[in-house]
Amino acid sequence: MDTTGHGYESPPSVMRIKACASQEKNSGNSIITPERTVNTIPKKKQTALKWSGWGYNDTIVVCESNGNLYMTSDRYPHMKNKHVNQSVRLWLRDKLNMDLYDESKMVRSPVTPQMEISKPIVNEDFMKGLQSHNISYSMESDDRLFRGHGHTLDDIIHLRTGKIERVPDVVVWPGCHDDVVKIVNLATEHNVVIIPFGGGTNVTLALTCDPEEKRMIVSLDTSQMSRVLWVDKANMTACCESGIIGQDLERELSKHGVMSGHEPDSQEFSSLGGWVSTRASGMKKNQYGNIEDLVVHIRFVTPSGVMEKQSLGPRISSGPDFNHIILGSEGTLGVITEVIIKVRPVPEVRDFASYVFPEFQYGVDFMREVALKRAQPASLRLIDNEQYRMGQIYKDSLGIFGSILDSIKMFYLHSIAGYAEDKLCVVIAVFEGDKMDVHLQKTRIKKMTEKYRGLDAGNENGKRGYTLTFSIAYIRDACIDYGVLAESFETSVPWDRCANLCRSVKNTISRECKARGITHHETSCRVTQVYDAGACVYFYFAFHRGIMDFHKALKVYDEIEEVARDEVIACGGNISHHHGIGKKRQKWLPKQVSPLGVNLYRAVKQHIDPKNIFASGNLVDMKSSL
Amino acid sequence: MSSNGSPSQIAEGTEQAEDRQKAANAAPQLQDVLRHTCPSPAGPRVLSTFRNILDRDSCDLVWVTKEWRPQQVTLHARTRTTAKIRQDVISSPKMQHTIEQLSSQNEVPKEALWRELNDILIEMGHTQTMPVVRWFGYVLSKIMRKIYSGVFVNEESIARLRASIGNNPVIFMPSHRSYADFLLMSYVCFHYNIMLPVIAAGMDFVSMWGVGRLLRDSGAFFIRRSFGNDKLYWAAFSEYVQTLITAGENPIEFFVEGTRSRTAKSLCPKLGLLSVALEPYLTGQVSDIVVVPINISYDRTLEETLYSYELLGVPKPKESTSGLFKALNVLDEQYGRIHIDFTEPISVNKFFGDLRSPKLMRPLHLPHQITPDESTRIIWLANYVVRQQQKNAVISLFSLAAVVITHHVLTKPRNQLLNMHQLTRQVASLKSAAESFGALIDCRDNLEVSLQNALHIHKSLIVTSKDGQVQVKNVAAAQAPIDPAKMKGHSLQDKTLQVGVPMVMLQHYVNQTLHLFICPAIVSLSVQQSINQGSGMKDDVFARYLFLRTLLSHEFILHKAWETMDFEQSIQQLQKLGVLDESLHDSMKLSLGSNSHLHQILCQLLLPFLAGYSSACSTMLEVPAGKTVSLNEALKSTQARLEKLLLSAQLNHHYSLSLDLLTAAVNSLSSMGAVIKNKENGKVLYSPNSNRLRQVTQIVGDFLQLVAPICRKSQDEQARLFITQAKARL
Repeated sequence: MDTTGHGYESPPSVMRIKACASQEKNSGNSIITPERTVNTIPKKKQTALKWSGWGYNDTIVVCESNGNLYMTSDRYPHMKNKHVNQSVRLWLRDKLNMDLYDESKMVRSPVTPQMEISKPIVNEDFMKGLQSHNISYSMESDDRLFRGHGHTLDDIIHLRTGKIERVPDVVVWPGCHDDVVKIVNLATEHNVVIIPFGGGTNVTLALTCDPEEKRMIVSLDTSQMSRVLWVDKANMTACCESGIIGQDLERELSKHGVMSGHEPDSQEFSSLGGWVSTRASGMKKNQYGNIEDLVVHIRFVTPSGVMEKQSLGPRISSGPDFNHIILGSEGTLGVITEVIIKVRPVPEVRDFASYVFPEFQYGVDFMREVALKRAQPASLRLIDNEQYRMGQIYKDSLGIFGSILDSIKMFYLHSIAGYAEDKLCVVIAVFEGDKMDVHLQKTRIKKMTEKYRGLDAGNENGKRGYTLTFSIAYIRDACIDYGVLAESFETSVPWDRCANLCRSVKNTISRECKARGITHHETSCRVTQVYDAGACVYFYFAFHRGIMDFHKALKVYDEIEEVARDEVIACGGNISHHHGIGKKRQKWLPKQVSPLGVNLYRAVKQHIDPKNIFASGNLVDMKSSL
Repeated sequence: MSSNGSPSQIAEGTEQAEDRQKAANAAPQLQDVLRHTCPSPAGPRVLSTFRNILDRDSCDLVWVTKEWRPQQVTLHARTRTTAKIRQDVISSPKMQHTIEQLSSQNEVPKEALWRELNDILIEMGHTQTMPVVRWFGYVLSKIMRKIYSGVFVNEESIARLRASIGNNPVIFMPSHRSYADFLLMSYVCFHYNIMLPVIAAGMDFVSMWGVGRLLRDSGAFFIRRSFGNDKLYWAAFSEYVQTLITAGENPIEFFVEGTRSRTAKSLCPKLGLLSVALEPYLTGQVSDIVVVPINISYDRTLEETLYSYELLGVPKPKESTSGLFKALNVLDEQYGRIHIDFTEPISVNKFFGDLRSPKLMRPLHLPHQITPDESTRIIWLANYVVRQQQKNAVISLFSLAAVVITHHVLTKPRNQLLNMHQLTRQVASLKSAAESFGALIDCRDNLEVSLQNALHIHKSLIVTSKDGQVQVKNVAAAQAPIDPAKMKGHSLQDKTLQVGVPMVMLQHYVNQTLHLFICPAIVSLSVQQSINQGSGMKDDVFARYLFLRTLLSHEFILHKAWETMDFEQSIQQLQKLGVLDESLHDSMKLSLGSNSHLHQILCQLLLPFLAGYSSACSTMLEVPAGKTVSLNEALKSTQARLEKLLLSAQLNHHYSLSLDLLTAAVNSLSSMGAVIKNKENGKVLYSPNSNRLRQVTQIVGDFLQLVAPICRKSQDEQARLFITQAKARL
């Protein structure tokens, strides 16, 4: 172990002081050099992750002809021994023309890309500079391809059909803040495009390269900047490099007995820097806050220099908060290199609960009441009837006794309590804290459910509902094999417009599908976050492509989503709660933030990045004005 | 001048030159800061503001039992028990962090580290208790009354100190010449109702039965002399110091020179403890720290004989309680006066400029690493502190007499004994020279009486015969035979020691004056050499001055940033004194003035140093290419070489034998790049860098020749006999 580099001073002497001085000179401002984090995902991501879909190479959802559903790896313990029963099978066949018992539809993705990748555009001077700074890079096709897409439905379809026009020309892996400064300076000097890459999990076409871009495109992969630089328990903050991914972050923090609590659905793969640059939201934001609440300090490297606040104080009144130029900048202004976030002690207890409500409106009213009383536990989500029923595919395979018990429960629910199977909805809650806290919270929530005809459905259902979130994206990929295109989109909405928005968007989609002759489709939604003033609503829209080819189906999908988004906005919702804009939702931005708002952004962009080095084209299409 | 290179070329192009460049870059800014923050005191210092604190109205018993309501260092301070301080150190986030790191790095259970830490802190911790302090104060009063004729404290400086404490942590940094420094500081604070300091002390005392405890109870905490790579110890020590600083209950006291100066010259400041103590300021945990340099001047140093032996290489006895009792025979002698001056308190915030803000982005539990900028300023501050100590010294007349006597012994033939009349006259002229260099001389009555009193204090070293003849006494005889194996340096012959010990003792007092004379002496010698070489141009003189200054930078406090300022000041002073000619119109050309006697004395002061350094050069030159020597080997063979020179009358100043001097010589050669320092298996070894070393040797030799003729003129076969034969009456 290197004994000098770990922040200790050896005994006093003049020489030592001199030694410190030179040491600091070498390592720039990053004085402390803790050990590198062992990254779960290797540098060559494609060796562990699918090249054309979500998640690990070894993990695929399989449904056998007898209805047994499982995942091919042990990574998701809750996804073992599931069984799709006949009623669910029939419901799905009816709604989406998708027979889960039909094993022949199951296609396992090829492991290596079957695609011609164009030759890279090379800026020799930039490459020379890169080499002289000794920064790791790759021009191999699969590395470039992997960083040329996110997980938007379009991206996945394009990958599967081999239609990717432009990918980055080189992938670089800076090791620290100073490396990033060097790369950005080089790129600015030699007029090379940089697209920052974190986990690559966006669903907004944020990583799609502009086919017209004639400059060399550098994908700046932050994955090797994944250290937790320090954890300060006195103030409960941690300084982390931006490339650390969610699961590694929590693992490293847990060594210090703390956690960030930030748990987006993509937590396994998405990175801290990515969260900041897209204004991410986690499932447990009620307790831990969204990313903007978690961030204390950001180090941001731009073509015009490094921006960072000079204060670790919890709040500053100093004019506009410039952190909010970085938050949500989606890689168009610079690279986030280090972030200081708030951390919390690892909770003593984690508990789950689920409640059944007879109708969606009851559920929404319940959620509203919780928000009003500010009684929300770490996570609280309301799942509508469609999603509840889709979720039935996750039912554990039960023995005979289990089946009988299940039938009795269902009988009670439907016949005695009078909850219609095609109307009921479910609330899932997660509680975290010490024993006393959790107990109090649970009691309080229980009390409130009673007011809205909620029935306790046990903590097992809650736990299942919560943890299954991580497998939804796998299912989406599997659906494509069955001819079903599915995608999610989200919004936030004031409380009084929430139920109506859900209803209207579903109706609109249904109408649009009918107009296009789509016979099999389904839309579901859930209210996933509660705020004082409203909620976040998350839609899933799926349809069977029928005789359409993938590209036609994709076009149709996009048309329908566009109409749906118009409806969302018309119903009092907005452009996005946490997915961001990317290149997919730019159309609505002027309307959302006013044309002056867009011009303000343009002015900032023009000032920070006049050469448009960060030309990912997200948020606002700079080409239209430049 | 040798053709190998001019002194300036030698001085430049070395590591030092780069440092100097750096310091020069920082200089204008810091100069600015200094001008604003550290104004020179309003008027010249005068003896009348010094009051003898032993001379008080109340009797000692009443004095030590007075009500104790000291002036607080900081108003927010709360008094902590020893156990609480230990607890605070252990529970500090920084300590926790260190333990966690060490535990995971070395795979040691945390509990073991906690235990170890606790032991370290118990070994380190002070346990200041007033009853012990009072009792100890009583005994000290009695002892001091017996051996000192007065402890004089500058009361103006006390008033100034009082005015500047109350808001920020305070660090006392006294000069360190004697063990008595520890006790004196607390004694003075007690007298003036200032919160008693907590003192950083070396571990040497802890093993002394009873004494360690006594010092602990008086407020000393103990730091191991060396703790190498022991990170836990390092963390514990720095946290201990820092908790004392941030809590601000007591002033912290430590000696920036690191150890007692055996030579009576200031030692080059050590930066470790200072850096640790300043860290709470640098990281923004306190808004300022007040540093108070303190000068303690002794008429006669308790350890004078011991030091002489030590410098010549006779081993220092390990501190032991029985040794202490043996040493109690010092109580039978008179040691004259002590003068204590608290110099202008320095606000670190103003001195440094505010450097805190960049560090506010780091959590406090992480160890702070000193930036180059901070490092420059800490070095500056440390040097400034030592200079302040020097500037505020009170010079005893005996020191001036020692200069005159040494000069006489070295330059006059044996049969010309110095008489009292000559001595008085020469001391008088030296006194006025010293005063023009800013010295405060302890001369309360007329000079003759004062001088006689001063000589009386040192009657064990200097005797005045009835006929008024002044002679050096041999003090070396009484010692037990020395085991050659125990000698730290070369095993010197008995006759060398016979002359060496008194000569080195005498030099101890000469050294007390050298901070006044060193720059003028270097300038004088440079001017003379430049003129001899046919130049005398100011920049040529400056180049030579720079070389000597660089050469002697491990010997004296000659901080690089001050080199121009010192040069100009010295020239002005020398011109006023007539050593340099003032009348010439060409301001770029210097020439010697009429006061050749003072010029001689000044140049002569450099003799033992140049002679020692020259021999060190020769020794290193003899090391074959590719071979290395340890410091000890280098010292031994240099001493042997010097002894030969002394025996063959090619040299007659025994102070050149001083191990401190020779060590400084090797270090200086190393930082000038003439000698290369290598670390092998943790051992430091030196090898010559032949070309550069030859150049340096040549230049040092040239300077030495200029100084040497003064004595060589009077040097004949008799001269050698004079010193060795006259040992009984020397």
